[in-house]
Amino acid sequence: MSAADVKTISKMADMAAIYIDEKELEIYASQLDEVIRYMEEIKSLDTDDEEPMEHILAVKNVFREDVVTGENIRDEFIKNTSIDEDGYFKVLAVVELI
Amino acid sequence: MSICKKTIIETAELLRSREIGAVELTKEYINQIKKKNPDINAYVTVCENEAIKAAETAQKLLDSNEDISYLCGVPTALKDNICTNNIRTTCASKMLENFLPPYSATVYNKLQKSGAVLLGKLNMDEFAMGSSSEHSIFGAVHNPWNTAYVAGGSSGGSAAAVAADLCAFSLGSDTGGSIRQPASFCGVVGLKPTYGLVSRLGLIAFASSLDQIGPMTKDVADCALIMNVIAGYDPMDSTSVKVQAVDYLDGLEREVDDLKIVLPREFFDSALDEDVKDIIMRALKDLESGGAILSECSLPSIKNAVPAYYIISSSEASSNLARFDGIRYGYRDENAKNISDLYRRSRSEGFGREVKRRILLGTYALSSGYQDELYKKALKVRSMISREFNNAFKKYDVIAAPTCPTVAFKLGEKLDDPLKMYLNDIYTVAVNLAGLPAISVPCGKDKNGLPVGIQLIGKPFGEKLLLNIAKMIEMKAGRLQIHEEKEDL
Repeated sequence: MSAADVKTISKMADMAAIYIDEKELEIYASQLDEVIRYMEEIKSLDTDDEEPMEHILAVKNVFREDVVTGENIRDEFIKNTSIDEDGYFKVLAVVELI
Repeated sequence: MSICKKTIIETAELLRSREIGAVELTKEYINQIKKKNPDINAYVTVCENEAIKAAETAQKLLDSNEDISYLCGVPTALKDNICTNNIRTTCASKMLENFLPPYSATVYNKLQKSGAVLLGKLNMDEFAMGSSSEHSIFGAVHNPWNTAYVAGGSSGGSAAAVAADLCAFSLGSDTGGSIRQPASFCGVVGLKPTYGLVSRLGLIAFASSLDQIGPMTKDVADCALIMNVIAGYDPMDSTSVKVQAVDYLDGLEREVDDLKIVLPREFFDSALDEDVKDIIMRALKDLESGGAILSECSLPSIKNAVPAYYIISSSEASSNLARFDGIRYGYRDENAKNISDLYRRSRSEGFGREVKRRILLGTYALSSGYQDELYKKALKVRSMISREFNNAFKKYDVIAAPTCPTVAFKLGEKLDDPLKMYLNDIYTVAVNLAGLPAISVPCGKDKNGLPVGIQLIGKPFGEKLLLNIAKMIEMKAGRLQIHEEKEDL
């Protein structure tokens, strides 16, 4: 049984919000199947006594005083969008009127 | 000898003694880039006007005779995933082809403050995902030692630019070997610092728990010098660590007594090319005759590092890259029918094939049904690897290993075989999982004249000792330099 078939990869592409056409899906599936099979080698390891390590450091929230430190650089941010209006990012309609 | 072949320290001396001016030096480098870059493809952006202006400012500082940094007037270039305010930062991706960062990375601010002159931005694997710098919308980077070969990746442009004398030094980023492997392939020095030592603010994220920025230089002293400038706590990076400042350059050539070096058997396995092994062992024997004690050990979990690394890094990448939706910045499809279609079209057209592969792999590892057996399992393997390293460091000062199993491979050789490409990272990824510092230093050339790097892995924040030992290796092996006539190729 393959680890990642076309159907599985198609589902992952949908979850990741990426379109992949049928021909490409087959290529991705065959490559990722080989990769995932290799990754799955760790499944057989005995790790019952191990704690998962998400981060190498003891990561904790970093707080600071709530004071303004920078300037308002809205224009700097806006200039990277391809469509803007009145200083706002413009998106396609999120709610459709019936 | 061309001025561009000189190290930072040599260049700084010439600038201070007025043997060359900062503007003249910058123009010299720009000419060099125009001449050589078409063959190497290390630069994706050259900012000539900005560089000349920065050089003029640096010259004023040099003329003021004030206490100035060694870097004042020294030309540099940055990997194109390090944000530079108003200078396009592309990650070698169509997604960010026109992205103008609204702020600069902390490391770039620090270099600017030291008076370094930014010549441009360097080619890489798209979003730093790759080991050959072939996955780039700007085309592959070519190895300056032999342009039919890859420069390594993902910081291939950063390594090639230093090796080809197209900048005095560069910065790269290392998530699973992306500084060390190209440094090894191109015959330059590359250091991956301890996780948290160098600020990640402004580094476009690939896998946040693994990414670190580090220097790529012509020699070890330059590497120490750059660490003096870029290391240190940054309140703007929540994973930045407060540690006492260290002068990495001070006492670089000192003798280290009773140095205990260990060679884990897993790093000298059947994947290691015999020629590479001989060159590495020669460098280690030199250290032994200098008084170091060499031992062998076993780090059994290392053999699981590649699967654990690709599961963890791809999972983090799939989450990090979810921010690219085509709205606030990045590529935006013009023909979308609705908002969901806009996200999907923009991502499908904006990301390249390898990036999509990693996103799919990460989505798979994090999805319901696979999360426990893949992602969580990989995190547990990460604990095992980290513990084995810690235990080794209770008995030994430093771990020595090859940086890569082979020298540079040919362009195109592994491009269509992702697994083969991933296995090239076999000796580098464990270091990132454990957050340790590691350096790659050139120690010789193989029978075809391609550079070989040796990797030294240290305790957390043990960069000073790594640089110290790297210097010893360099003094024996000599700096690798490309001769224009290529007489020794």
